[in-house]
Amino acid sequence: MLTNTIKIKDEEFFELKEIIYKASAITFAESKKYLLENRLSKRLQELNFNSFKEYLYYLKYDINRIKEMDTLLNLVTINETYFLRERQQMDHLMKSTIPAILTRGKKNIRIWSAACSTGEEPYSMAILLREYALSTRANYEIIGTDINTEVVDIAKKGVYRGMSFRGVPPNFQSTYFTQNGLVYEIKDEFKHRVRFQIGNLISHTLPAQVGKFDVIFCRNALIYFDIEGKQKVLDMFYNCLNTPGYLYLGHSESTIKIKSKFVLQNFGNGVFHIKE
Amino acid sequence: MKKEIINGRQTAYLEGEINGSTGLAYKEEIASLFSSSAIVVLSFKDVVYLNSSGLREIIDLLKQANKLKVELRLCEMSKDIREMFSFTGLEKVFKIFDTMDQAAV
Amino acid sequence: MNVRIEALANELAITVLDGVQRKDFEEVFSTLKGFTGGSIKVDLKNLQYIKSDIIAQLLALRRAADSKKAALKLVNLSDGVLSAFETANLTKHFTIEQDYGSYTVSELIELLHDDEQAEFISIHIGLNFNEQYRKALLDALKIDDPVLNEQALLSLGRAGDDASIDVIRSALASQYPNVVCAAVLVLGWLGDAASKEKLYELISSPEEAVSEACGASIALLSDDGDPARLKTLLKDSEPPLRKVIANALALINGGAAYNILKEMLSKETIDDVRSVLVRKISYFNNEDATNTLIEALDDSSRKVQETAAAGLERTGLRGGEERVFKKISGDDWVSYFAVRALGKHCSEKVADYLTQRYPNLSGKVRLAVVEVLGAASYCTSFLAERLNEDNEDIRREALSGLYRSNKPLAVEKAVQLAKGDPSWLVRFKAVEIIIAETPEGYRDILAEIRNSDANRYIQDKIDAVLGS
Repeated sequence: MLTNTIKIKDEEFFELKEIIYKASAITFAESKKYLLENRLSKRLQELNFNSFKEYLYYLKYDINRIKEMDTLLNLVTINETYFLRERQQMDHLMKSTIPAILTRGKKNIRIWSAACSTGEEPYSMAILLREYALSTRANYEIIGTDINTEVVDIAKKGVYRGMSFRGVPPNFQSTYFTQNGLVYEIKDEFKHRVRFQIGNLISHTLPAQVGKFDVIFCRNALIYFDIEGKQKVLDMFYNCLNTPGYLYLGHSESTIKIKSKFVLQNFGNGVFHIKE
Repeated sequence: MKKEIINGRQTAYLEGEINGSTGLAYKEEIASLFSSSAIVVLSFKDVVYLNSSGLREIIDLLKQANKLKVELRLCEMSKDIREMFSFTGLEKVFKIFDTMDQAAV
Repeated sequence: MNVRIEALANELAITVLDGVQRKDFEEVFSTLKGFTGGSIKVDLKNLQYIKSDIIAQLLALRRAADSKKAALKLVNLSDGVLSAFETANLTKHFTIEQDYGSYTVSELIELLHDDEQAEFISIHIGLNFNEQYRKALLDALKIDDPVLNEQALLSLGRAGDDASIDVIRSALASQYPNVVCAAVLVLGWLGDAASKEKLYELISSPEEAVSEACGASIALLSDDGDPARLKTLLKDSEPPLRKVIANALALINGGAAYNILKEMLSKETIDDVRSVLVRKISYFNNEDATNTLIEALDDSSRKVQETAAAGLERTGLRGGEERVFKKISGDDWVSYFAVRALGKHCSEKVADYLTQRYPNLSGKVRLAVVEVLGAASYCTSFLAERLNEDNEDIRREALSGLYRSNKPLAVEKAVQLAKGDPSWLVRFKAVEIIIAETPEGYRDILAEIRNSDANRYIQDKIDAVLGS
């Protein structure tokens, strides 16, 4: 909060955008310029830079440039999240989708949290499976992936601070976590239910790395891709799903202009995508 | 202190060092503009030095402006001066513009 | 009807509601026929996403507005709606703005939960503060929600609401660090000297953000006694606290604070903290600070050397040029920053020295030299030669430099480079110069480039001038 925000000029923004795009296929729309400023200003100041131009020189000419690319990607892909975020979708999964899969006699259910950030989303699912008394009715495997190496490390540890619990009901922390000073560690029962891996949604090897799923959650990640990127990711999700398979995107994410074989279905005030 | 009307807006140019004592003098002079203008723009173009006591006088000025429903706008800060505002969180308290053109509209 | 229409004298305000259908726009168009005002505002705050047939209606509305010479703007687009516009590449066809004035108090408080908007909303509340907002913010502070609490505190602070001081003070005891942080800052803004003792307790907090905020607020509340008081905290201190103290001392500034910082620097064994101390010393406007930085160019840590060189750009060299010349070598960041420091007052002597050294330098240090000499009017031929170098950044920097020191020559070169340079970075800069300087026939030149250049940033830039 107390970092000075360094403004990025148009030409610097375009160049940085190209560099990030080449490395990750992630794009930043003009309206997300401030995100780059907010997330990178601190890094620039650590390096004694006063402008993005100097940072671009660093990325292009420094001996540490390859390592810095990782740092850059980690900084720009961090998605702040919290437990039970946009809960209606998770409730819908528990109330309707999983019971539907169970009635078909499935005994092994695989769920993918495809942009899991620091792990709050997949752990929330593991917790809700128990709250909805579904945990004993099948074997569940929850996989969390994210492009950001740092957040995956945090997710694996399963240790969280107060900010991750905004908007959770009372007793949530005390029931499912062990408090240790200022931090809360998720109990083993839930920790063991989720596996985390590093994964770039654009990478060709990702499907083989993660396998087939019954449910995919991918929220607030598609906004980082251009149309071509979104198309690739949605096609990949389609291929990674069993039939029937269920895909949940962020509540505000549009798939306008994207051709997909998914069937859109409404629930309450949200939508989800089905592979039939 | 240089004062002028730009685009119909009352503007004033702070100069040199702004510390506790010069800040106090500026405060009185600028506050006298509040009775006649709905928007007052302060330029930091010629400010070479600002410390936390000077900053406090500028906060005080904002308080007075708010009470009188006058909008106070700041502009033309050097990088160093601007850092003083961000290190104290004040960057988001004041309306700060890069140029006089943007501030005096 | 899922559209609400309000016709004022000069503005037609249209609020689109959730569940809007194509046919709902019929009434909008019929109202528009009789409208004679100059501006039309369409508020989309109620939509989480938008279907393409509704976008089509908005485009039709824009054409209708154009034909009546009325300005149309869309306000309050959610992420979902905005991304639909971006995906359809329509953002440049509309004026898009945020208009918090069209929300009710309770809607705004609700929106404070959204971390991306919270700050802007809080600023809006601060500027439009009244009794209704105060009540809503104080209520928001009673809810167990750290994000909401933080933004409520900051809003009260922006409004300068002294009347809520007790509530703000009590937030210092919150279990959430972000809430404590906000309270600490706000108490500094409000000048609440009575809280200073409490801030001295919290400055040793293991939460770094809380500690940092305390340092800043103590500086805002400081009197003559505080530099010495901060010094007493150094005993047995952890490295993060020493950085916080350094920042507070730099904000307080003045002789007493400087002497303490200098003493801290002489004793500090951790590179990272020494680097912060050196950086903070560069915020002091005195000769000794310059000397201290020049000495720090010989520090055992590379990082500290870099910070010292970067700091000299801030303080100026005050006659220390010769000592800094010696530090310039090869392709490292110390040399880079040292060149920039020299360039701050680029005398002819400095310019001569840098031009001579140039052939023996490489990489980013060359870039720094070109940038620094770009500000000096007597280096035109040096810069013009640089336009033939292999490195795209050098060519671009040289062109920018020429633009500062010799506009006619820069425009001539820009026209050549815009058409022929292999790097889009250079071509982009050249196009910028052509657009800014509008040389004779520039529209034809731009049109020609628009037809042949495949780079979309350049295309967009030209389209903005010529219209697509």
